[in-house]
This record gives sequence, C-alpha cells and structure tokens, in this order.
Amino acid sequence: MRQFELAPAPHTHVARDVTRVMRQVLLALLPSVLLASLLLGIGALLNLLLAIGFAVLVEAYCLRLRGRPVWSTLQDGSAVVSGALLAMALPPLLPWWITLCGVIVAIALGKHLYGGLGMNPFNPAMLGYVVLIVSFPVFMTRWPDAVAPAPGPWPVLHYTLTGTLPASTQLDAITGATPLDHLRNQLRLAWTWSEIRAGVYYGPLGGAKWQWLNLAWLAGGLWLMSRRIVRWQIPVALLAGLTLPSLVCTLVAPDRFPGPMLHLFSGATMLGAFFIATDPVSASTTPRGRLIYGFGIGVLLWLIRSFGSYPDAVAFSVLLMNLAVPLIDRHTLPRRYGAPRA
Amino acid sequence: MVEIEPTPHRFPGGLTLPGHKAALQTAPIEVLPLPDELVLPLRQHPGAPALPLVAVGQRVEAGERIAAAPDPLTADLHAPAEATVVALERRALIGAPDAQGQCLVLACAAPGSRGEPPAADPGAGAIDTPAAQIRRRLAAAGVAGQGGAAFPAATKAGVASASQPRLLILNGAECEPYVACDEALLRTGAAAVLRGAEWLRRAAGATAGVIAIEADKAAALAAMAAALAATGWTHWRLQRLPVRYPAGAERQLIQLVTGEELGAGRLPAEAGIVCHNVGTAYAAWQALEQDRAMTHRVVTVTGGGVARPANVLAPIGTPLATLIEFCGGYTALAHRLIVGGPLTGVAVADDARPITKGTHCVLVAAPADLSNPGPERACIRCGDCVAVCPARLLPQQLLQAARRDEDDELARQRLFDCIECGLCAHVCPSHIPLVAHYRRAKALVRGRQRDAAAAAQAKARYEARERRLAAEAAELAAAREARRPGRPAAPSEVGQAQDRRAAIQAALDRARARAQQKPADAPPDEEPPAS
Amino acid sequence: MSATPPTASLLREGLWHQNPALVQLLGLCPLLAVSTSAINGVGLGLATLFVLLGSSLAVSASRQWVAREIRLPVFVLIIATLVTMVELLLRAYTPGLFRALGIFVPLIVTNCLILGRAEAFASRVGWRPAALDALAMGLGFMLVLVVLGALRELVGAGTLLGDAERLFGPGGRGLGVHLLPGDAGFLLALLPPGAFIGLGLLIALRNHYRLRRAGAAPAEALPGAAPA
Repeated sequence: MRQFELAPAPHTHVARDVTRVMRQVLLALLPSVLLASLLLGIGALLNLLLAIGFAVLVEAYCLRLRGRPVWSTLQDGSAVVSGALLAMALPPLLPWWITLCGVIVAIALGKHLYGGLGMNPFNPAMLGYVVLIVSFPVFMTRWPDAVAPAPGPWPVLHYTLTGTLPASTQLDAITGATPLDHLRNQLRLAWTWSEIRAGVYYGPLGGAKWQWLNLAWLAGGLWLMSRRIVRWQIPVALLAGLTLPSLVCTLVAPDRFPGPMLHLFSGATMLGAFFIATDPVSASTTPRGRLIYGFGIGVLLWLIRSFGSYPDAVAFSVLLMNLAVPLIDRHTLPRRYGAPRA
Repeated sequence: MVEIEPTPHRFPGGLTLPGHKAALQTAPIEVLPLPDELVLPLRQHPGAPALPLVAVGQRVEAGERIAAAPDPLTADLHAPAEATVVALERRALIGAPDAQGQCLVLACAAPGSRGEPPAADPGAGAIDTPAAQIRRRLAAAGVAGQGGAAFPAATKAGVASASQPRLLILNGAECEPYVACDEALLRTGAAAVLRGAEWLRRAAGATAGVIAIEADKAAALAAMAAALAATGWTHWRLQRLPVRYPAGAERQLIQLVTGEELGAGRLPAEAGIVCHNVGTAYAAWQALEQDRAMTHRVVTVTGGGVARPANVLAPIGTPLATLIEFCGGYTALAHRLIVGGPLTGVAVADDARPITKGTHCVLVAAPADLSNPGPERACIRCGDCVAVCPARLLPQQLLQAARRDEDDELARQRLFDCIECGLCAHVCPSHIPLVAHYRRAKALVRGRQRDAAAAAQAKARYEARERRLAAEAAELAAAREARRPGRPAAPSEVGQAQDRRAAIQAALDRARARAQQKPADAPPDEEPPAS
Repeated sequence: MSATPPTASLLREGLWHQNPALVQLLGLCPLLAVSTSAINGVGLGLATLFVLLGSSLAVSASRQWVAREIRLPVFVLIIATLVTMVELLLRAYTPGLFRALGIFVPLIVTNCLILGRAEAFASRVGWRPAALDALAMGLGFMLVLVVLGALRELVGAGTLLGDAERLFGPGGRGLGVHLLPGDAGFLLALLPPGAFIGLGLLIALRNHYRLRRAGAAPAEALPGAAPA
C-alpha cells in the first residue's frame, strides 16, 4: 500500500500570482518614471527609489511588530508598489524626510493598522499623499515649472538630501506653476479658457509636459489591461466620469470650463485611472460596482478641479470613493444565479 | 447524417482549461482482469447504506444481488463476478481523509479471468416498454449515476416522470481535464449509449432528448451522429458544447442547452428536465437489453504518475492499487493520488481504497500536473474569481463571510449557491484554498441549522405538553365543578375515580401555580377556574 | 458604599487603571479639540480639575439633603456655577488662553466625566474620598491632555510650550523651545485628524504596555480600548 499527501481540491492553479502581478504593475510604471525624470528632473527617479526603499523598511518593521513572517510577506511586492505609486504622486523636488513621512502614513497607518494587505479600506499611497499635502502644503505644491527646462541633477539631489538648495541656485528659478495651477490662477483672474489655452502652458493634448506623462501612463495602463491585470471597468468609467461633465460644461460655458481633453491629459488623470483607482484592495469588487466606483472618481475629480481649493484631486477623489465602496458593493451584488432578470 | 448543432446559450463565468486528454482520445477501452479481491462499500449513494443479503463464507454468482437498497436514494449492489464473501468489515474509503464504511469483501473465484467482453450488438428497434416497468428493471440492476454522485437512475427517472419532463439531456460534456471515460464509451459504443439514453428517456417520460458533447471530442461527436442517423430517431438532437469548464455541471449544462438558469433551490425536474450521464445510459442499456446489473464501469486512469494511462473497464470494488498496477504501475513522479478530476477530485491518503459506482477518474498526479500553488497570501480582492464563477457569486466576499462565520453574511453571499467547481481557487493569484473554506462553512452552517431545528422541535414538544397538561387540568376542573353539591348525585365509579383525579390534579395545579409563575401568555380559557 | 477605598488605590484608578481619557474614553470632545499645544492642555486640564474637585466636594457634602429625584439638576447647577467661575477667572487673568480654549471652557458643564463622577462616586461617599477621586480623575484627564497637547505641538509646529505666555503672561515667553525649523511642522498633527490619530496612538501605547506587563497575547488579539 502506497501513501500519498493530501490536499484540498482544486489541485491545479493558474501560474499568475500576486508577486507577478505587482512586478508587472511596476514594469508598466517604469516608462513614465523615466519620462518624468527627463521632463521634471531627476527627482522623480530619486523619489521612486527613496519611497520604495522606505516602504520596504516600514513594511518589514510593521510585519515584525505584528509577528508576521517578514521575508515571505515582503515578497508579495505590495509595499514596493505602494511606495512607487506614492512616489509618482509626489513633486520631484522634495526633502527625503517628507517622503519618509508619507511612506510611514501609507504603510503603517494606511495598511497595517487595518490588518495588513487586503484589509485596508483606503488606497495606502493616496492616504500618504493626502496626509502630506495637508501637512506640508508648501513643499507639496512646489513643482518644477511646466515650461522651463528641468532642473539639473545637482540642485535636486542637494534639495532632497538637505531640504535646501546649493548656494548658486534660487528656488524660484527651478520651481513654477503646473498647468493645472496656471489654469486655476488665470481663471480666477477672469481670463477666458481660450485665451489661457493659447499660452505656453498647454500642448496639443493637455498641459505642457504633463500630456506626455499622461500618455506614458495611458500606454502602461493599456498594457496592463491587455494582460488582464487591470480590468476595463474602472479606468473606462473614471475617464467617462471625467469627460462627461467637462464636455457638458465646456459646451454650455466654453470660457469658464476647459474641455475634456485638458482634463484627460493634465495632472495625474491617467495615473489615477489606470494605476491608482484600480488598486483592487480598496476598489469595489463587483462588476457593476466598479463602474459606479470609477465613474464617481471621475466626477469628483472634475468637481474638485473645477470648484475645489486644490488644483488636482486624484487622491481626494479616490479616497472619497474608497469610503463608498462597502455601500457600493452591498448594493451591486450580481443577480443571483437562477433569479429572474430584473 | 445528423446535424451537430452548437448549443445556443452560454453560462456565466467558466474557463477554458487545457484538456490533457489527447493520449486517451484514441485508445480503446481495456478490460481489467478480475482482481483477487473486490471491496464493495455498502454506502455508495446519497441514501443510507445498503443492507447486506449475504453472509460471510457464502458463495455468490456473478450478477447476484448481494445488498439491498433500504431507501430510494440508494441502489442495489450486485456481485461483479463469481466469488466468496470473505468479510463484512469497515474499510477506508474514498472521500474525507478518515472516511470509512462497512464493505462486503469478495474473494473472486477466478482471478485473472477477463470475464465476458461487452456485447458488440447494440440491438435495434423501437423501445415501447411501459415506463414503470423500465424503472423497476433499472432499480433491479442497481443502475446509478456514473457522473460522481451515484444517484439511483430509477429514482431520478421516477421523480422526473411525475412532472412530465419535456427534455432528457444526455451529459457527454466531460468538461474536467484528464477525464476521458465517457468519451471512450461514446467513441466505441455510441449506439449502445444512445439506446440506453432512449430507455432512460422512456423511463422518465421525457418527450425529447438532447445529447450534449463538448466540442473537443470530435470522434465522439461523429460516432454519435452516425449512431443517431442509423436509428432515424427524430426526437433526439445532438449538440456541441463549448469547451468551457464546468459545462458538464448539471445547472450549467441545462443553461447551455435550454438557456434556463436553474437556481440553487430548484430541481431540474421542476423545470421539466432530466439529465443523465453517458456512463449511466450505457449501464441502462446493459441492464435492459443484456440483462446485466451495473457491476462494472469505465474508469480513466491517468496522470504523469502512472506509466501507461488508459480507460479501463473495471469491476466496482476494484482497489485503486490494482487499477494502477494494470496501467503499468507508478512512475517515479507519482506525487498525489486524486480520485476524480483535478478540479473537484479528492486526494486520498493511500491506494488501498476501492472504486465505487461514481468513480470516473483516478488521477495519479505528477508535480507537473499540479502546478504547485505556492504559499498562501492575503486576498487582494482582485476579482479574478468573480470573473470565472459560474454561479455568479463574489467568491472573495464569500471567503470573508466564511472566515468570520456569520450566517447572515453567508446567506447574503449565497453560500449554498456554490457548486464547488473549484475555479475560484484555481485562478486565485494569492493561492487561497477558497473551496475548502466554503465546504467548512457549509458544514458549520448545516450543523447550526440542524441544532436550531432540533431546538425548535424540542421547544414545540415542550409547549405542546404544557398546553395538553393545562387543557387536561381545565377539563377535570370543569367536570368537578359540574358535580358540586346540589347537582344530580350518583356518579359512576369511573366518575368517582375521575373526581379524585381531578381533585388531585387541581391541587397539583394550584401548587404548581404557586411554585412557579404561570406563563403570562397562556390563553385565559385554559386557566383552571379559581375554586 | 460601606468601605472607603484606600487613598493609593483611588489615585491609581484615576491616573491609570480607570484613566478617564484613555480607558473610559470620557470627555473626548474638549480633549480632542483643544489639545493642540501643551499649554492649552494644561489650561483646560486645570479648569476641568478645578470644576471636578469643586463639584465632587459640593455633591458629596450635600448628598444627605438632595432628594434622589432631583439630584441630576442639582449636580448640573453646581457644575455650571463652578464653570462660570472658571470662565470668569480665565477671562480675567489669562485672556490669551481663554481665547484659545474658546467654547470648550463653558462646555466643561457638559463634560460627562464630571457629571459621571458626581453621579457614580461623589454622591455616594464622604467628602474625603470624593475629593481624592476627583483629584485623581482630574489629574488623569489633565495628564492625557498635556501629553497629547505636547505631542501634537511638537509634531505639528515643532515647538514645546511655544505659547507659554498664554498661561504665564509675558514672563512665560522664554519657556518655549523650538525644535524644528520654521515651516517644517507636520501640520496634520494640529488638525482634527491628528487629534484622533494621536489619541489612538496613546491608547495603543497604554495597551501595549499593559499587555507587556501581563505577558498576554500579541496586540492584535486585543478587542480595543473600549471601557470595561
């Protein structure tokens, strides 16, 4: 008589696993990181490396505190992705300790306090970002100018490590408005959108520099979609939720409201649509719920950009809809098998 | 030639899996020589264990009935060969790791012999035996479903006939990877299978029939088309199913063929449909046209852990080890012994256990067959499981409910709609054994429901008793009231006895009322009148 | 109450085992709102301590004469009187602090800690244990207020006792310590979420310490800091 090991059915499994999924998300993010370093300075890459490093350290520390296996859990790669997404949202000109603060909030408060990966109701990276923008408004709104050439590597490195610039460089020389900042200010000064549009801050698609970043994110997102890592519902619904109100308003009042193209290709729209809103843990899980969730983010994004007090609002919109996910899930249960079609 | 129609409908979810059947798709069915010993579990069906009709030491003929079904959910058991009953004892069985049950152990009289080969001539002509008679003969031959659950065919037909079904679906989907025994039967005995299906159709009183076969079984489809053309039957149609697991699960199959979604609470018979497995149809043909009980079945023995995969015609009760030995024995890669397919089969701890009427596949899996899942990680709610679930559940939400073990949430997530097809765990990137969690939750919920039902019954009994006592007391007190002084005298002896009893009872009642406060909700007319 | 608890145990209860802010979670509204600096904490803590002490004494002393049916209005009356006194005193001597504490000084009337101690303790015991209990509870409350205030001030503004002149007049100006450069504060700590996160961390710290002493299971098995 021969003995065998026991295991529950099913006995076969697909090759995909969480680690591989996270690796592919990072891969899809890579071109936009390189592009951002090119357009906005080496700070983008620096932030990425710092945030990932901090994220892994904080994750390891939290796991140890919680008595969980450190090494094998780290390998799921979720901390690396959270760090990377936070870094993508940060201005590429930021002292290292602010990045560290954001990572601690994201990983320790945003994830482990709720019970670790899979239990967090909020997108950890966006939670970290929002805490930073609320706490350090001065640092967090200091972006490299959207039309000036990217700041050189030396001032950026100096600033990141010490929080000050080398004596030869002036802060005003390398920072300036982002296209969405510019739009806000000009609209407040009663310029019309068509007048603003003609300025140097806008390219054929959206904001200068940012349109290319958005294209890179879009490309990465489409690749993820083709690999079925990102499902179509959330990005499509989000972009629709952003397009629809901006289209209606720009048709009604073309002077006051920029059209959908600007919204789609400025700020962090594509990053939010394909990389952030699609974080499965904090998103809705039902097929219909994902449409509502994505659409809600899109509409909120447009509302805050148009009427709120922040120029961009991906993080706020995502967190607000995160809050609504349990409700959405509860009311969008799929039709029960065998129940009559409603 | 008969037209092979594609099925007109789809079911939600599902997944096209690699088949791993190529090697067995052309091979003939091999006949297993009689083993030395056959172990026939008395419990092979959903009902109670069969009652043995033979004593230890008794000699039995091939096909002799050796155990009788105590209820309609169990089928009779027959000896597969001439043999001596050597024991009636508990043996380890296929199922849970510690599954055991009473078994009749037979020592075969002529081990090594091949027995009679299956008859070549399927027979011909119209079948017009009355349905009730067909069902009697099916029951007498112990024919039971060969798809897994081993539900007695006669009972299924009987239940279905009550609702005058419109359709019999012959399930030739065999959607699970590796399994190829139905396909082998269809390839080599399509005419017999078809006649068996016709018998089953008549037994259930169904007006029409559909033979449903997955599209990747071209030879089986062609053979059945030829057999159907030869009979000229026009009430049968042949449909090609999409190659999409689990097309062969009963409710999904019904949806593919008829478009109707059969909810978890409804039986196929309620929708006017009855489904039978290809192997069952073959067994029905043998029972009704060859007069042979269901003592053998075709089993697929396959996987990287067995030297020579084959479809084997084996007697019920053959130990797994004998089957594997017949197929060239284990290879060095043999790693896990699975009875059933890779998605729903159960792993067994050793190869001494016998096959039953429902055993369709023995998968001796090599590590390569299993795709080692890797360590279990946290659920990231990715929703891959939602996309494949054929019961339209939210498996990840169901998992949370199962972990918390909350009845309300489990009901909201429709735990009992789960058909345990295994796809959610198959696709889970975190390698969570979802189905195992659901099984555990189902067992816990069922246990609680049993407990609650028992408690409710006990409460009802107690309340009935209280009511009865109160009513008796009231009656007796009323009788005594009627015999108060001033009433016509001369009570009978019985009356006197009653009177005494009433007095005692009333005193007891008063005492009881004083001792324990009477329930406030007792109807006033049942209160004993104050004396 | 027949037996009067010993002094030491009363103090331990108020400061640690039954700490009003960390264990009973009472009076959180003013606690969360004004604990933006250590001095604010000291101010509100002192005011609450004064009212608690006064009301406990008065309630205990008058417990023989107050009919059970009207005890709650009487307690409120006593507390309100004391709060009015505190408010007038603060307004007269520390106007800066009074402005900083704002509505939360008059709202001490509604602090359930004070009414709770009056009802649950002071109205049933003699004036000595009542005063001790009030002192312990008031100090426990003030302790949390000061610690949380200092924490938030330090993290949020980078200073400690940076607004000491509010309490001590111009002489207190030198007491402040600046630990971080000007605009580097973690602003969130001064905003309402910071109060919640800070208090949560303090409760977690207390639980952690208690569990370590008890040698019990890891922190995740804890049901939280809910009052027993």
